[in-house]
Amino acid sequence: MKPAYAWQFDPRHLASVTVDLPAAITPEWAWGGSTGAGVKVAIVDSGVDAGHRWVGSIAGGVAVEYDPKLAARVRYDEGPHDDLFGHGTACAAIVRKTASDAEIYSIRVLGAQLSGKGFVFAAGLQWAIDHGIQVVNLSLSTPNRTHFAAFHRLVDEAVRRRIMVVSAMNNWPGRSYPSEFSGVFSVATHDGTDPYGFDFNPHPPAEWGAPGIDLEIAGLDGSVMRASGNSFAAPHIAGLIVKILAKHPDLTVFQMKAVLQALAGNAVPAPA
Amino acid sequence: MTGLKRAVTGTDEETSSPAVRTPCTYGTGTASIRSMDGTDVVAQLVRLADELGPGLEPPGAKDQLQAVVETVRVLLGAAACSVAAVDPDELSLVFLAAAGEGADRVVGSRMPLSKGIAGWVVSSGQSLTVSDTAQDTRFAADVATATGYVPTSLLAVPLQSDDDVLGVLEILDAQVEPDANTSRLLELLAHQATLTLQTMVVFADLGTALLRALKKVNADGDLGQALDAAVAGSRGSVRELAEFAALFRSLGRLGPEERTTATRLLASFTTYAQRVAPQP
Repeated sequence: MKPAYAWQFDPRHLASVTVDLPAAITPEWAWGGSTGAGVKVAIVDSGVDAGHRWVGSIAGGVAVEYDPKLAARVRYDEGPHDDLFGHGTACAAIVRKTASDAEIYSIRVLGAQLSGKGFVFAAGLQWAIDHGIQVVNLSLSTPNRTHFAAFHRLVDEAVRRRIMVVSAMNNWPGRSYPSEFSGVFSVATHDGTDPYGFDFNPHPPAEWGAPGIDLEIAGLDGSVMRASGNSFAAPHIAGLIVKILAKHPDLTVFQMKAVLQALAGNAVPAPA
Repeated sequence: MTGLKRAVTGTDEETSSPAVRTPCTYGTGTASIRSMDGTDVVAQLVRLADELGPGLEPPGAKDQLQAVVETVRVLLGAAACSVAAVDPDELSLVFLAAAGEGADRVVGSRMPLSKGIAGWVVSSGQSLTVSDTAQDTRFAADVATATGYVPTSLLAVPLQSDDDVLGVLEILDAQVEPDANTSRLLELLAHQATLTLQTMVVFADLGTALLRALKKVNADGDLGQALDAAVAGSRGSVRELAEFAALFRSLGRLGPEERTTATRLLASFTTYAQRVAPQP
């Protein structure tokens, strides 16, 4: 008898894989001509205002609410909902900047509730995993150790299903889940403003640097305002991943990281 | 302790019951602790703890918060820094410590949780940076104006324990970009502020804590053993507090005239001590 899992590598079961990586990875190869069409990206946040001119439309969504009376402690209300704080609308608009035709889903987990935030947040990520979402933008995090294992499991599940989870680092130093996990694309701000410009940090947990300082962002009731934060850097990376995935849908999470690393502003050719 | 009152439920419902050993229930637990004259001992204990709890708060809690905001302000070269605590009963924030511009007007002020950047941070549990307050519709300009200082930029950080956001640390117009060492210090300072707020909440919630303890005791079926264990488990760090509590207990056994005199004496001494104590 072979050891467990060996059967997966038996030639009778092992499927061929498409390796879509060229000798030289260029922006043109990665996202040239792509609008992100056909790729489902979820904004796990405060809701998304589909009526904001920088968002245009959303493909669907769910509002997740804390409900201690239920065994699962959360309730899912699928369908249209408002953006309670404007934060999710800002993130969706940033994704739209580079991925104009992406199918945006709003998963509302930030609300007026004063407790149960961690459960609701984790439930929102689970909903994304269970509903065919390909890219998840998390411009939020939790410092609560109680949820460490739950988020670790969710991120592992996402990686195995080739779901790209983009997670903003906290604006304040300290524990930050799931953005500290190696399975996510963890993002903090860098000084640039080009939506196609980003850096790779060889010393994570903040793995990617993207625009997030003094940006014009979408706000509530169709407004536009200027703001800073790692929250706004993450959807820049999410938007680029959506564009790449629309052209190269077979990429795994670690391949996507290799592609982004090759295109990072601080990437230099290896010495001959 | 201002602004950290918590509701205690289920304590008053049977205070007028007849003098029999009829079990009364609290949540899922069942208590049979009842005096012969019909007074619900549990309810009285809880009420007493609720009233005494904030008064027994360890000295220096607000001083600790003040030290945190002063240090953060210096580290970041900020115009001002403050800590506000969540008062869940009234759905508002109470500013407990502040340093820098407008500090004297900020401390003690309240703001509804539905308002302002700080309210957003509590509701979302997420930190927030605002680079231009004039353009941010969430910014409560009227509150800032009342303090005499309107910032251009601010950073608000939730002070979070488990799933509860206990308060908010706000930094106005920071000028210094923190490096790795400063970041570590800021992390520790926010943690210190969170621990201090946790301690304050524990004392404000003393009645609830007692109720939970009694429920647990009842499940075990032996109040005396549990109390003995609690006494044996008390640490040196709480002895001073215990002495203080014992003093109050002794005063409570004296007559009304003695209690009135002691109260006046304590009030006079506190006023005098506050007057002569060096200002921070």
